[in-house]
Amino acid sequence: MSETRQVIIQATNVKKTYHDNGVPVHAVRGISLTIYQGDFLVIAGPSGSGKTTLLNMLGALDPPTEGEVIFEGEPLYAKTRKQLADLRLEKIGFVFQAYNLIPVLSALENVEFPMMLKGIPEKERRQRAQAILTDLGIGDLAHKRPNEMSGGQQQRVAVARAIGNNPTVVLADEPTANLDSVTGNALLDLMERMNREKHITFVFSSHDPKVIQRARRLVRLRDGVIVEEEVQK
Amino acid sequence: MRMLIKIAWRNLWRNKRRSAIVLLSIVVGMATIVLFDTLSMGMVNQMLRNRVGNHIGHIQIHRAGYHDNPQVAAVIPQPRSVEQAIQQTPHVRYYAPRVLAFGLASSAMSSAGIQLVGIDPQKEQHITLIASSIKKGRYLQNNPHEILISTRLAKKLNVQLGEKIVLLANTVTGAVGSDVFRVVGLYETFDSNFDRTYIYIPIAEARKLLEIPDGVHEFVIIADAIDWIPAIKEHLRGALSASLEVLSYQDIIPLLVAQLQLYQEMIAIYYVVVGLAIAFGIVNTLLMAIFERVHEIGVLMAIGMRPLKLFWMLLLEAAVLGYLGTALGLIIALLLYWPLSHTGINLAMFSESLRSFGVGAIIYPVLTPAAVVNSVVTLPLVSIVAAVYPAWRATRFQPMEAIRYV
Repeated sequence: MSETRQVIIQATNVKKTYHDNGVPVHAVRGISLTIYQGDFLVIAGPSGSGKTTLLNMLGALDPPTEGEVIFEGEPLYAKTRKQLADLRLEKIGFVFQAYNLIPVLSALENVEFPMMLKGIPEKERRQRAQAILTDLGIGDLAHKRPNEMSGGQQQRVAVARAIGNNPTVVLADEPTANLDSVTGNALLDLMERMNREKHITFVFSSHDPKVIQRARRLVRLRDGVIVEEEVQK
Repeated sequence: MRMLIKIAWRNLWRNKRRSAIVLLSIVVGMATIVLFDTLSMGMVNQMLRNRVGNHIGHIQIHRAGYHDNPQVAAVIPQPRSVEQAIQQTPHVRYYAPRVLAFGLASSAMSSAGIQLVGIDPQKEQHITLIASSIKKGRYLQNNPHEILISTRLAKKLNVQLGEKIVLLANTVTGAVGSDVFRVVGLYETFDSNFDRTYIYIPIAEARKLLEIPDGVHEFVIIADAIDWIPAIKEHLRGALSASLEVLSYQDIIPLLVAQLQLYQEMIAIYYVVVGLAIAFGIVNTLLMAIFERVHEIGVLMAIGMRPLKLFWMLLLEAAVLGYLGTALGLIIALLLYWPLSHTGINLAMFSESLRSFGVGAIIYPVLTPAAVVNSVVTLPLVSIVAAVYPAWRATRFQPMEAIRYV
């Protein structure tokens, strides 16, 4: 069904082996996966199935031990560290399970930070950041520091930060894991809206049924391999 | 940049106690360096000023070779024309002629080897500090048989104000000239060696004693400012015959000038020692701060911060620490310096040893622009250099490795 859509990321037979005290741990054992423009894809699976490792490999954060990841037609891990950093800055947004906001910056400054790295002028980035926060319903929290916000509010700021530079794809690693169900659902509503209205591609790793239910594409992993792939309504 | 400075500033205060300790070390180091520098410069300047002000002046003119081998016969030929040349030289503020000889001063009780200085009292009072160093009696007035000696020599010769002294010195013919003088004044300078040796009589009396009518051994010059000394020296060298030597105070007391440089080098060593101590503190602090924030560094890299930018951000934290410490240290140093530069630091307990170096018991610190510039540049630079290794270490993390770091 997706062949006509633009391919953003293509992973071919990627494997990842870690060494734990000299003992090899095969986190991903050979996965091929294509991410298309506009996807709302969930990589699901139990703990230790390799979801996060796969997400990190797709997101230019962790090179595979074997296999290849192509991002917009170019081999991802042939790039230098600086080129990878630039690619993450411009094309990929990250939402982490633990929010990972910069504690010394306010919500507004956290959203501004990647824009600053990209060289967007201060006035413009401030306006943009404020607009995104307002759009996500936390405009009034702009000047709060992360420790002054709830988990759900922090995760909204993390989403705002992830989409601030208009990325091609947002990779969200267990984004609802630390949130209660109401807050988690609200966050998912928000990301669905971003996907629908702004055509931002979302790739989640999660074992949360709330997230899995929302997936339009679902990839199930077990022991580092894809065991099921389905397209949902 | 503003945001990076903001992050650097806020990061500093994440661990207030640790940053405060490092900051304190920079503040104390800075204040100590500046005060040590000003005190050393004050001491050396005082030494130099006393030597120059007691006798040497800025420039001296003699017959060629006189400075190395002072002979009574080596008078300046045609002193009138030399005087005219001096008068025509720009930026000469004062000048005075002198007649000089080694001799013996004897009282009824004792005797001592002396440096006899025949002076024109009017002109000499502009050249040296002797007129203002009188402790008892008065300054010379060109009257016959008047002599000015130090309180130290008076004590050694066991003479009082108004009592007589016999001076003996070789005349120009090689005979021994002698005359009797009455002590009209007792002086005291900051230089005990000087005080033990130098005695002053009117120039006419000295000429009579040494049998050199109209003779002059030395012209001493004071320039409008120290900066003019090379130009005056150069001008006089061109204007005067080659049979005369024109010497600046640097030529006459090279040892003291070298000592001044030595002090400056010592201060540089002090900078290095304090700088190293501070550097280790900063390396330690930043390493701790960075290893506490490895996870956060991983996040910064994950959201697209280039390694080089991360490196600069961490150096900026060190620079903020360095500049803040330097600014506070400088303010404290200036607050301490300001009153001390007026009241001086009383080192009376060391006064005897200080006098043997030509320094008074009260040292007035001197703040030079170089001291401010050196300290303002050095300590922040030390802070930044010290941060290079921790910052470099931070850039070596892989984003995921850093995010997983516990």
